[in-house]
Amino acid sequence: MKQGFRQVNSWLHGWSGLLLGWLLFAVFLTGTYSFFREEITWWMQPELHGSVPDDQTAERALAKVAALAPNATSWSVSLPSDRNDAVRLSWREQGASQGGGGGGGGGGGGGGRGGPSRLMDAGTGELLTPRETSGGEFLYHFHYELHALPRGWGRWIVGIATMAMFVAIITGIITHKKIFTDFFTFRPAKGQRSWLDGHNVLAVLSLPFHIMITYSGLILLAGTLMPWGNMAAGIQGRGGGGGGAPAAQVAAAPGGGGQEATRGGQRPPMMEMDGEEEGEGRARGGGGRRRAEGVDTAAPAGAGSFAPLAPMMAAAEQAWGQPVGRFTINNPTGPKPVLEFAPLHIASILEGGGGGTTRMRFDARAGTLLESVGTPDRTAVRAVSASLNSLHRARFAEPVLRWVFFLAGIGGTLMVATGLVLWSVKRAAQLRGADAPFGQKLVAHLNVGAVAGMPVAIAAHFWANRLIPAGIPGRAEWEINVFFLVWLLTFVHPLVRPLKKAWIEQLVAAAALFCLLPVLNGLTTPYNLINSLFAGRWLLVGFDGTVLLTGLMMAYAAWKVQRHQPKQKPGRATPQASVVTATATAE
Amino acid sequence: MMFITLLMTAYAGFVLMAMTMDRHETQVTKQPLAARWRLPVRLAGYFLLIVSAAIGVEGWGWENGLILWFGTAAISGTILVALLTYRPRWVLYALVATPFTLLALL
Amino acid sequence: MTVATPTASAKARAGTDAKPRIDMISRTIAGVFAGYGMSALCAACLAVCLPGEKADAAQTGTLTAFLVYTAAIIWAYAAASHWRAWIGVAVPAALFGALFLAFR
Repeated sequence: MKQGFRQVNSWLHGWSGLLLGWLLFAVFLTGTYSFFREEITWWMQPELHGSVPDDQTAERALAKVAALAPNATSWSVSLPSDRNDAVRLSWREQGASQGGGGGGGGGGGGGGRGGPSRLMDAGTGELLTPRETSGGEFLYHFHYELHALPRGWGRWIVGIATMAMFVAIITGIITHKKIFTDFFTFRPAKGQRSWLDGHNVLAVLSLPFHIMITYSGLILLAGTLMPWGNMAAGIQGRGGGGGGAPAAQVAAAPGGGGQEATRGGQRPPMMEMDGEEEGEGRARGGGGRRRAEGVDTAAPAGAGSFAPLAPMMAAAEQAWGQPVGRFTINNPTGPKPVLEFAPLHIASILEGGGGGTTRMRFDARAGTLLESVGTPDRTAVRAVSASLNSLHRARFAEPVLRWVFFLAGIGGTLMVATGLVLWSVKRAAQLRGADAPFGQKLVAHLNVGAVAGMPVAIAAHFWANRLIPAGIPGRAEWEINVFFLVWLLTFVHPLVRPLKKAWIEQLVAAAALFCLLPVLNGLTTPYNLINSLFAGRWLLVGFDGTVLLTGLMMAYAAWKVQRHQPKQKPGRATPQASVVTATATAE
Repeated sequence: MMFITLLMTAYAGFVLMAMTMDRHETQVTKQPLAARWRLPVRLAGYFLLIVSAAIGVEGWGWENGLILWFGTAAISGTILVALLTYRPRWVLYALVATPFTLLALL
Repeated sequence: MTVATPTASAKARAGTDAKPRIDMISRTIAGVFAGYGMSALCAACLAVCLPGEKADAAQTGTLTAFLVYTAAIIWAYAAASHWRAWIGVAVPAALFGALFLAFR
């Protein structure tokens, strides 16, 4: 063998990275965005923004759901959280099927777990009807099954890209021999060298994150990519009846507001995710059984006869070290209604992927504790896959961890982006001023749309959410159309502009759209950055602040590209080649 | 607050590691470390990284603490890279601040 | 690319233009496609062979299969010749397949 193992790996790293690099960038970016999808969906429904929780919210919600559905077999309330300020009320009518899934109900922000549901103002108890929106769910679904493709196809494509990413990470580690001596090295303004340094630093510093997120991504898609183990063992997916397959087709999740959309029936039937739904399904099934024993002797009683919620919630909160996220009263009109509390976030990363979650059950009338269910024991392999599931989806109790993951995700996105640009820069350098072949030029130009264009399209999606009138039919679809139209434009635009100008113009466009988003929000809703800051509405401040910061970063990148003067090698560099290297100091 | 302590401790660990690296030894301090100091300083760097992991576990439990530690280490590493590149003299100022954040914790 | 590719090295050995392309295609089929088959067999084999609960065995198989697949891809391009690449994929595949059939 003439060449070293390392060279082969370097070659494989370059090609596996490049072939699927654009897709990987999109998947990484939308995945990073999805860490905050619930907050984003909430932001995209400004009709909910007047909702300010107080300590009477839980009682108010219970009274409301009791009034809405006096004969239901169960009532559920998803309380406001650090990710959503509105309350979701849902219930199950007598005779309704217990099966999972259920269609995404439209109108009043329905959807959720198959039964009817409504959103409520946490402070006033008024019912709210938010606008129809594709929300944060749209790009979340895009993240792992793309859009408008048969679901299996999208997952296969993303799965293949994920596999290429995993190969690229492993071969990257093997290739990068000076991984520890170069640990902190970044040499700016040196063209290709700088890109390589940046790529390495971004890769190495959060290597555990990259390996975890890629490998767990593969495992989450294993139901599509690698079903053979389960098939050989005669397991038809872990979900059993949980399924919910049709709902996942409704990728846009119209109106699917807060927590329900993230936890409920719209969850796609991935192997791991099914399990979770099964867990939820079982909790529900329990309700069904209790109904069976209770209905005969039913002696209807008003909501007023329930024990006060606050002491029970305080007990649960103390036991868990985190607030209650949701409560359900099973068989509320029967003689022995049971009140079940679930924590806001999973109690342990071992609870990912279903199979039982932490709960507390009380006698709803007496207020006495019936049972407290903790994290079930797990075999080692279940513990590993449950942890991978929780980690990939950032299902933690700690907001600070969500932010750390968000930053790591941005790091990963930039790692892919630097890798892509590096590929072009490296080839341009090899030309030594000769005219680049057509394919190479095309890659360099399309890089603009793939890298700078996606943020422009994401910002346009936010703008569409505020500018498309709230009442028109098919509104959610129009938001999505705007996203794709703008993204398409960002691929066409670099073909008719010089490369450096294309980069600058798209970065400036993204910067302007992101920076002006808080202004647009202030003009189109009653809440602007200043008054939400003074009112302590951290969800709104967080969103506005994040997009503002994103815009400023984009502006900085545009400024760096603008200011960059490629070092001219006399008599060698043609405009084309120098323009290609001009991208070398973007960011 | 505890997060700042965690961040700073991991940062200090990385600085000590960087001081023993060929490429960075003259960036942090003008004079490179004497050869006999290299190993102890490097070990001290590793020790501080372990301390920062312990802070994470203490504050956030085993699961979340360790996850947070990985993430925070990446952030402090990124800060160090930025400082080494653009403001190498600030590396030490930031290092000096670390004990105070530890004291604040106690 | 500045680094020598497998194609280039094969070219140096063979001295013709057609062969390196066949070498490359052969390696790609061995790594990407046969490698996938091999790792699928690995998942199936572990799912039926491992003791303990079936769901756990299947999950272990799935978790392992992706690592095996990654190794297979790297091996296919790193092996000294594309014949060896095939052997490196086929032998474990046969082994996993035989174990699967035996324990099924």
